[in-house]
Amino acid sequence: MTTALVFGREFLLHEQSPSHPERRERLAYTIDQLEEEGLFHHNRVRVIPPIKATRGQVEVVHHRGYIAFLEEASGPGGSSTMTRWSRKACWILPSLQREAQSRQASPYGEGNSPTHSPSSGRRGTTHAPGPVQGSVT
Amino acid sequence: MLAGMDVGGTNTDIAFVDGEITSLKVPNSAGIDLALDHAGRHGRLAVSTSTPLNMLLAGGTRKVATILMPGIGLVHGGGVRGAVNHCGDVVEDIDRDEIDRYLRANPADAVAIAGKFSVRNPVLEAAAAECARRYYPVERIAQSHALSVLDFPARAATTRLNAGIKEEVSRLASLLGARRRDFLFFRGDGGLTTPENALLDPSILYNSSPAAAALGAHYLTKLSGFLAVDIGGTTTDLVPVENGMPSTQELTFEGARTVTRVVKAESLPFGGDSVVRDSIEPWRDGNALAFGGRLPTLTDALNRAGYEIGDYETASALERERAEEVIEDYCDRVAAAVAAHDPARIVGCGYLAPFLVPEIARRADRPCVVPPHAACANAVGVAVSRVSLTLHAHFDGSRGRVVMNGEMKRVERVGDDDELIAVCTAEVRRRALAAGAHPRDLHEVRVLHCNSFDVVRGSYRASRIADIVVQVAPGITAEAR
Repeated sequence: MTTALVFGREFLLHEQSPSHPERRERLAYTIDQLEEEGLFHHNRVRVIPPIKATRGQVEVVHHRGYIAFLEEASGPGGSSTMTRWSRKACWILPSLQREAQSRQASPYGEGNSPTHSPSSGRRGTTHAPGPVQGSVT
Repeated sequence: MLAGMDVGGTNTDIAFVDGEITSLKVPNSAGIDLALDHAGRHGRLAVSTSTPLNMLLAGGTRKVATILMPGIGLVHGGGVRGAVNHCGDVVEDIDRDEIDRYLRANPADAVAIAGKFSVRNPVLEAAAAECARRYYPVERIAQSHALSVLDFPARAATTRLNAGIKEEVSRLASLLGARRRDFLFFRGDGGLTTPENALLDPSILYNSSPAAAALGAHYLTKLSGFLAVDIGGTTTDLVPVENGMPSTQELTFEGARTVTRVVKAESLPFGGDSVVRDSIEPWRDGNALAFGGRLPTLTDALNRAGYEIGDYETASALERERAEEVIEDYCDRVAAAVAAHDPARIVGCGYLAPFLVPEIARRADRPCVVPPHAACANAVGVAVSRVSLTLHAHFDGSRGRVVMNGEMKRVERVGDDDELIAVCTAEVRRRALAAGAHPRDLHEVRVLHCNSFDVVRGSYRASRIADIVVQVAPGITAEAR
């Protein structure tokens, strides 16, 4: 049996914050162990480099409003957008709030909509830094 | 003045580069002392010795006992106690009695010692080596930590190779060092290294002769992209050259990957000393008739066809028709191999290149060049190469240490990436200068790898860990340009 190992060096660029569980330290330690075991060259391991996902593929697993939020935060002035919303203890865009309110039922199921905090939801939630509160201004 | 020596199977080629190029061949039967007499006492001397090392390995007579310390992670059969984790902390000490029992139960010619994550902390390998010293001299013990790269299985295979040839490299280093203390070894990737570094990783000398021929061909022709066709006594080597440097590939040994990169060369088992019977045979029995041998060879076939190489009249024992068939057969075989590489052009090297390479090129339908001094292109390549050095550094701020090429040192602070790259660049320059590099060869230091991250404890940034790899790349020394 061949085991697939999906890996690209660019994965090391992903760091939400230094203390977030998904941080470079943990991934770097994991890669060190894989490299030392020779698994990147093992004849029963197939290393698959990541490919850039299409928007359609991203929308399969993430809410459109969340993607829009990331696009806004990643664009020019995005950091100020993030800071502004964080300072207001708000981690969701108004457009996302409106979209969520306009829906009768959340696509993620009751109690797990994008307007819930990261601690209660695993999909469609924003992982913005700063204090997390459930209120929306 | 730059002097280069390539110890081949039959002759030692010597070249001097000092504005002009001079070259000569000294038969190995006359002894290496005579070759060293010809090499002189002045200027820089570099030596390629891959042929005797390749022959030693091809013989496969060296039995190597391997002490593996697989530690944490995947299990490897036959391992002993002792473990270092990914941070370089010792989490289990070795059991000296266990190693002693293993060595007594497995008598061998040499010992290889490889521990997982020893590149982060070599202390357990060093302790195991101390145990092995009770049974073996240091020249027969190889350790893996100086190989510097993460990849335990490949490091273990490289260490086995090193254990098998370390004593021979040590003998050659002593022999050459007795005459020229400042000599340098030519590496299989086309750079130069000190005898001390070669003893830490003798595998870097493996298969250096094709690299020397390719580098020499580039220097003599100033071409940057071609296929070098090096006709030696035993083999004909084809070496692709891109941007003036031979391509390299991972070396495999006993079917296993190693961490060593050597020149990419296709070796055909026919050369000037290949015996001729009904056809050309893939083996040799000493020299050609023209140089005092017992059996007719490809060289003698050329003489029978009308050339005048050495004592050419001795070729009369060969039938002319058979001699011509043998030459055609040889040229066809090499031309087919050349065509498979699809080169833009070929450059001929070796003593027989002027006689054979134009015909090989015609049959392969490729343009060719046979430069002056082609007979000693390998020695020219050794003479004009430069000191190359790769520095692997792992900084760990929380433990206050840095490991550079397997040596652990204290470090006060771990700065940002730019600061660490500057530290490593300065260190690799310092080491290269100490190894004999020309200062103008150190203007460019390549950063091959840089990765760092913060260590977070209790939501606070506690320290930094960084891996940096920098290199003074192999190539032509500024002194020869």
